[in-house]
Amino acid sequence: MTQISKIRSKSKRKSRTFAEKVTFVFSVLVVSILVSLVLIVWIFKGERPPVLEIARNGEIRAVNGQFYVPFVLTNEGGENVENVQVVGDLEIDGKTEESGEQSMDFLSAGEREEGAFIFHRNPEDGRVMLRVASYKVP
Amino acid sequence: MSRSERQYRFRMRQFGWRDELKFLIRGISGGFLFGIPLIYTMEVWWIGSYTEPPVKLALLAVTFGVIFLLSRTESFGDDPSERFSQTFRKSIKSLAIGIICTTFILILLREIRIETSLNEALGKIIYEGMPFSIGVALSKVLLNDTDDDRFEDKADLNENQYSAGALRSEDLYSATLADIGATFIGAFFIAFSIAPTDEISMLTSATSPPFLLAIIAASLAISYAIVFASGFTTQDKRNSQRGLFQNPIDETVMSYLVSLFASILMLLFFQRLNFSDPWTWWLEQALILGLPATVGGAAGRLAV
Repeated sequence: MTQISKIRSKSKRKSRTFAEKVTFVFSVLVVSILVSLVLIVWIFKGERPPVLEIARNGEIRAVNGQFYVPFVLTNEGGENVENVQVVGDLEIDGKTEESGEQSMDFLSAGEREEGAFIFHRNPEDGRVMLRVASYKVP
Repeated sequence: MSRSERQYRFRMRQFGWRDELKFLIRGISGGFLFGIPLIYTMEVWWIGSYTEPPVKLALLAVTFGVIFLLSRTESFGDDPSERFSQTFRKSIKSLAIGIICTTFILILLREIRIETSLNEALGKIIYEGMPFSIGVALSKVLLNDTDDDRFEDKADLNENQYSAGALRSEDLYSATLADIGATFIGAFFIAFSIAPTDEISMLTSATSPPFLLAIIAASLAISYAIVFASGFTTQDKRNSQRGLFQNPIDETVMSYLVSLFASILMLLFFQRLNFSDPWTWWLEQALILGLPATVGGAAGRLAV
């Protein structure tokens, strides 16, 4: 083998190794991050049961004689839930005038979902009662 | 070190990077071909959401084992002298490509958002990443053409016709029709099982105009990568194929439009679209289903 061909062969091997090394290190980093995140979730998850919180989320919108009351539902517990039933009642002068129901297919631990109840009477004439009625453990 | 040696080493380093880039694009293309149908399956999103962390880790380990075995099997045919350490490195890279692409596509389809919990996002990535990473590992063998002689004859014929300036317009139209037909077949092959599912309307409801624009860009980029940049064995065949849209950019755009049209036909066939629906609903659903249809269309054109 001549001197130049030796250099070529060595140089080719070196450069390939360098490119491969960089992509390999990056790949190891990606996989390590994923594994670390799963471990973090595992350590901090604990055995907390589902805790479902519902709250008003923003201003009421009035469009074409209907009143949209936005809400946000959050699962603050450590376990996932299925078929979450959310109920919204509009009470005026102590009487339930209108009622709405909503179902969320799935809510994982820490997840939040948004939605809105629609009433025909102005919610500002009374008060809106929001509550979570039920859920199922997957 | 002389100047010529330095130049040569610089060129060699470039070749090293080029090889890695080729491996990357080829892997991404294979991953999309193999993994895209499962990306559009909501049960997988849910299973990923409620799977416990130890199961997730076990699944990741199993995925790596499968990829390692596939890479090892593949290297027997390609390079029998390949060391275990090389296969190990290749498998880690395949896994990483699968994870990155799955994360990207889940964000694009808004299955992972800012408000998505970490546990849910990780579950989705690991479950959806499994077929994706296997696709990356299989990318080299996924679209190998065994009928090279037929292609070579055809390519030679085309070359001769071109050199003589004698390519008739009927041949040009036939080649174009063959491309359109292959795109249609490939689009139907991948997207037909996705079109009747609820996932399309769910994903459409969750998307927004900026994400739709990103989906268009991603569909075009993936299609281009599969056909023209991945270095699949039949890629040269594409370059020598003749037709009205044979310029890579023209062909990518044309095949995307064909895939969108195929998507609309599939959605109409399964009555997921009605003529009373607003045009925006048609457009959004077509773009969402257009992504897997385009991946299929690209594969179809490589297969002709």
